Amino acid sequence: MKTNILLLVCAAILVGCGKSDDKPQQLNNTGGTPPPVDEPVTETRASVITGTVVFKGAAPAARRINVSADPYCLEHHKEKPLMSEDVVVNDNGTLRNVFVYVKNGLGNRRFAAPRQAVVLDQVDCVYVPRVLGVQVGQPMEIRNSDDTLHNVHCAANTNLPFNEAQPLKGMKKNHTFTRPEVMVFFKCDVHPWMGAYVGVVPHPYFGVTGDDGGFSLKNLPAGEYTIEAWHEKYGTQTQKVKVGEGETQTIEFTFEPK
Amino acid sequence: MEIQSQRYHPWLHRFACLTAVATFFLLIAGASVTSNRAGLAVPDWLTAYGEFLLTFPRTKWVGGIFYEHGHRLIAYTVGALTAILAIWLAPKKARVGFIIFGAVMLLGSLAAKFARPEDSRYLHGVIVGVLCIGAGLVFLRRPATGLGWWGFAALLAVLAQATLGGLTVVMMLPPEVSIAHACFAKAFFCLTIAIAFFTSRRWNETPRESSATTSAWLQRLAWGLVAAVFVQLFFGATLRHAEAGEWCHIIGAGLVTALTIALCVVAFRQRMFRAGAASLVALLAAQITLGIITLVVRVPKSERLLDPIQIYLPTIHHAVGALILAVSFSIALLAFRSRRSNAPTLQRSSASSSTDARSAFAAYFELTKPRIVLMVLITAALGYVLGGGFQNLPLLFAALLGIGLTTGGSAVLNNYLEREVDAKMERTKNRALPLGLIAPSSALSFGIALVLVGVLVLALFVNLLTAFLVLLAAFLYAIVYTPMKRLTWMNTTFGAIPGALPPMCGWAAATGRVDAGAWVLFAILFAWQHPHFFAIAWMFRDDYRNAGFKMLPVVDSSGRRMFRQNAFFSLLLIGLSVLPTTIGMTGQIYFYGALALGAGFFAVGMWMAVSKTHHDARRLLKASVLYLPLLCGLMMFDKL
Repeated sequence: MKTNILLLVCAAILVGCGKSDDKPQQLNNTGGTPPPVDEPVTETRASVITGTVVFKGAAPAARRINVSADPYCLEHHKEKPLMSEDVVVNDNGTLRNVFVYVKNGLGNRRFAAPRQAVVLDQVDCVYVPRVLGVQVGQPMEIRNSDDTLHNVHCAANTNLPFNEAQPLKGMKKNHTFTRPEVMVFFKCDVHPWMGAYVGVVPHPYFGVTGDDGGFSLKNLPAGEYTIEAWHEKYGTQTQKVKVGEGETQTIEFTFEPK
Repeated sequence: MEIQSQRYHPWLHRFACLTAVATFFLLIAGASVTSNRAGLAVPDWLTAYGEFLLTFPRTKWVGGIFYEHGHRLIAYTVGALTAILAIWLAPKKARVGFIIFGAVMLLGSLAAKFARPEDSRYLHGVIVGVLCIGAGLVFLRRPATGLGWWGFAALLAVLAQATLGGLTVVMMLPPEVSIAHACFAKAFFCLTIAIAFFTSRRWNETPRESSATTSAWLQRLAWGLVAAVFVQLFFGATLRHAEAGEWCHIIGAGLVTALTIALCVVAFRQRMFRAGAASLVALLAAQITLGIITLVVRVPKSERLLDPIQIYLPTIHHAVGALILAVSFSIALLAFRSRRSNAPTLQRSSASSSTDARSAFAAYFELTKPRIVLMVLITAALGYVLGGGFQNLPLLFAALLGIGLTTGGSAVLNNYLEREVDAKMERTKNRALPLGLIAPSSALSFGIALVLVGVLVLALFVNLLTAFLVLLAAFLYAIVYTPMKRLTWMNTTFGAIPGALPPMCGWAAATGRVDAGAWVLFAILFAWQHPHFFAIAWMFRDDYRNAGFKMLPVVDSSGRRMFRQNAFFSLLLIGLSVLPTTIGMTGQIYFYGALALGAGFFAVGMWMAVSKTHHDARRLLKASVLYLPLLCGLMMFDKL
């Protein structure tokens, strides 16, 4: 029943999207502005924007999460208690889990989506990874590696939201986002502490900072770009970067608690 | 005083109170779902992670599931209590209606089970069916309470509320739906409180304090307070679900406080309202304190790591709010009762209640011969399902609607044509037309209108073939069979043709064709109607003779011809009833089952032929009424 309604809504919206996508293109063709260009991502003639996300100030202490609501989660966090991960500051003073991507500057280039699926896993009652990026049209696999019940609740705003049951270990759901959206929030309402953020962008130039706080946007065409860094707690920051043919530009974002 | 206390039924009142108290706990459970952010912890509705709601194992109630699933289970209980209460309060005829509804529900859900065995949702239908039949039978002989509409309103409200709850899940908690669900919950709560009052002893005694002592102002203030509390609940809900209306909620609190003070000033002068007013003051003081702390510790809706206080406080605040509503609503009701003599009360239990003037609606409804219509609908549904399965339920609904309307219309026309003869027969002289409850011309136009609308529905929403077949059945029944009853004993055989058409209509509705299967169903029903009508004809042969109907037992009073024909058609029925297996529509189970049923039916017929008593004719009638649903059930069960 629910899936039927969802499918209907999907179909209706897809039809709607198709129409609204087609019309401006036709207008563009007649109006003089060039049509979108399919851009191959090549290793040659490529520029790079690289950098780090620095954290300034005192790192907020991680809170211990009470997972006793589910015996399975309790069992798997017996030795190592589950701590809040909304702000993770690395040892080198950089900020982890920041989504960095090209917000503007690619013009009307179009990029083929990779066929390789990105994975959002549920392990020990935590989403892994917590922050990830995916290209529009690229498949995404959401799986349950836990021997407990999860619901995968995608609270998207621009894309279609969904809420799907994954009560058994090994269950998988394939999902493809159709529109850019930074960020799409995933949550599990069974385990309210579980959350994941997915940045959906229409090109391959994005990255998430890891334990070194660094990011690297490779194989860019030369140009002037707006780079945005997003953090779940500290919001967004943007920088304008000009990068020449084959050049590498290094930038730095700094987040500090207000 | 004694006469009035006769009306009062302590267990009815206790049951109504139980429903109200259970509803209060349901409100708390609902509030804790929101507080724990667990509204979507079970993504599917009517099932829990694909399993049947009531058997979802306790070990799986982990995390947020505990709150959401617990809320659903309590809601299920309240729904069941409300249904029982509604049937208890309902008029006698409505209780019969509930039993019929339950039976249809039971059959329908069992059919659904065989169509989609892996889907557990049919069990809800079974539970509803058993509940309606059970409660209907238990309360069938109880006197009417006069509060039927209140019970029915509560039942409709609880169903609407369940639908809203389902929408919160399906639509993934849009604030508007959540707010509507929260507010409607309180309206339903008030309804259960009202019923608890209406069924109480005190309510049904004449007011002790005369209207002079309860001031009009008390009543006005009390209703004003109820309205203000409702507004408060609304803004509380917007605050919780949409994070809006903070200042409205605070200003509303001031309004409620002012009204409460004013109410207490008036109410403390009257002993009857003193306790209520005092508890109102205490609750309000607690509520304002709770509200302030709740506002202080409040976190955004998106925050997911909550301290226990952030979970429990809003829930308690919500529960106290519901209590304030309950108390102010009770005061308002009591004030209303003490000033009005026409308040809804329990009806005096008297013998006249069952024979009192039938409403026009009931009279028109009876004119359509609802039992025949029901039988037709069941057989039409059988044809539909055997022909096309359960794929297209809206189409099935449209087909049944059209067939039902047309059949009802032909029954009205039959009633119209036979109105003078009916008056002569013991069995039928109490029908609406012979009694003069409805003018013949009105009945005629009503019947024509029903037939036309029914055929139109079929032609527009189903297909022309079905519309044609149904129209044919209506024509054969009303225009051919009805006059023929007075001309020749062959009328039973001719009457059996329109009677056997419904499954064919159902089949045609589903497939747009009339296949071999449809003809087989037609043949079975055609043969079956002979023993069925022979039994009726034998039981009422004197009646028929007086009215001038040429039934077989009238033509040949020894009954020999009738029993010979009965034996023939019963044997024919056995042969015909195994045809579905022969043509590959059903399997072995049906084959042997049909043989056994046919043999039993034949035996009952033979027994009657020997004894020739009224009692055994009635047994044959019962056997025929039992045989057909059993055979249909077998067919559904063993559908290949």
